[in-house]
Amino acid sequence: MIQETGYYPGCSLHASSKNLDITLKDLFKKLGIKLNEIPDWNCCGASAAHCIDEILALSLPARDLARAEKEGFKTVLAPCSACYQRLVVTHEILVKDPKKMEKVEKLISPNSYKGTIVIKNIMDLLINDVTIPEIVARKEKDLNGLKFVAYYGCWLTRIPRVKSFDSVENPVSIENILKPLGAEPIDWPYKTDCCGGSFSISKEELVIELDDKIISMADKVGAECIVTTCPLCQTNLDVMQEKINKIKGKDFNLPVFYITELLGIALGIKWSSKIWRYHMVDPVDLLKSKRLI
Amino acid sequence: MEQKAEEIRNPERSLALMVKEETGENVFACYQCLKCTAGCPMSFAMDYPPNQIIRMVQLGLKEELLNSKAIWICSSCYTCSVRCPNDIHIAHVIDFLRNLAIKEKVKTAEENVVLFHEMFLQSVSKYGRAYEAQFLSKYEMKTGKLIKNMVSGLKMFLKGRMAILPQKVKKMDEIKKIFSGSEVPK
Repeated sequence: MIQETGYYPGCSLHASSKNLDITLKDLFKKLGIKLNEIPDWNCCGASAAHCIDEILALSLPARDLARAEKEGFKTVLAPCSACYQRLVVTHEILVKDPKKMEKVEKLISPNSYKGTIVIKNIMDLLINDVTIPEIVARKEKDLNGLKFVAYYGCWLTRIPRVKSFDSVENPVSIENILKPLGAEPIDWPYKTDCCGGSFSISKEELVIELDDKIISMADKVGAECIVTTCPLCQTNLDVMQEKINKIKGKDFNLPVFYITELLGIALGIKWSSKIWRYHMVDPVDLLKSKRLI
Repeated sequence: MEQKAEEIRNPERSLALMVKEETGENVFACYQCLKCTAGCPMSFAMDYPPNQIIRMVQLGLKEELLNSKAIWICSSCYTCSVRCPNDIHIAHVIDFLRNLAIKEKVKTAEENVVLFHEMFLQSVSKYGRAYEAQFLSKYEMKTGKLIKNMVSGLKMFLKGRMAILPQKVKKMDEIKKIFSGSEVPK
């Protein structure tokens, strides 16, 4: 099993999604994997830079990849799907396009990227490096039939022309991990639909339409909660429920968990109540009713 | 019209050829199956759905494209790109059109979307990382939504989901260099 990996937290995990940073670190400690943060990392530019200036959009992640490479890291874990996608796309373009590589190398010098880093997301690492049997072997607490829908969002599995660790349109890895730990996955059609995360400020009225559709379906199929890995998806689906209730006259109250939070519970980590306070939709009643806290 | 016909006759001047050179995408592979548009989560709000964008690139309708709302409403979710039976990375073509609109200083049809992207990147150019509290309040001040969104901003802050102070990269000279030739307004 993998012993350590480079770690790129990205801006969200140090601001709006601290609970993902905290729970991820504790979970990986429990699994015996050391996370080595890339020294002096910078923002990857998602999801703005690629809309404005492609060379900038490649140079920002390239500096991070170069710094990871210099540290001798073989893999880099990027928990945020937007960061993950930008790092992967940058790597793919730079190793294949010498003209763009030349432009980027000039901008990121004295850093330089040779193209050796393998970029991983949380699910890829859990499924392929840790493996499900290893996780299940560490089970300390049953998830007591917690009914959930897995929400993968856009970029975890869907990067054009890049081989995905799971099915592009119908991924199952979140379900496959949580089911043997006692949670009850519910199949649903919107697991890879877009939540509109990058527009939640500038085009809120459109995002409300997208998220109403997603949350309505999760509610309709009987889910008690949504499980995701991406900080942008979590924030968006969590924050928007109150707005949707107000504007659309709905009554949603569906907690949105990070997979790390639930895996931690199953592996016997006692989360401090601080973790749940980061949630906009309070998950404490649900967790208590399932005797999970 | 005469000019557009001329562009189609002279491929070296055509938009499609620029797209091919810059992105490697061959828009002429499109046979209008509409799979991209059928799966697009944002097409309901677009003036030209993805299949029409590709057709317009074929026809060289550059001005209409750069002035469209659609190129800014695309959320880059990549559904169209992974479903295209002719392997056109449609979202990459849209990125190219957005980049071109910025480069040519077009007055874009979705000014707030562009402003948001630019203010986000200005924040990154200043600190090396996004300083949400500052750029969000600046953005909302500029768009006149500060008061309206004060309550939700405050809630995020109280939940511990908004950092009060910025995190700054140590080697800021390297970040400044990356932004030096970029299209991000100073």
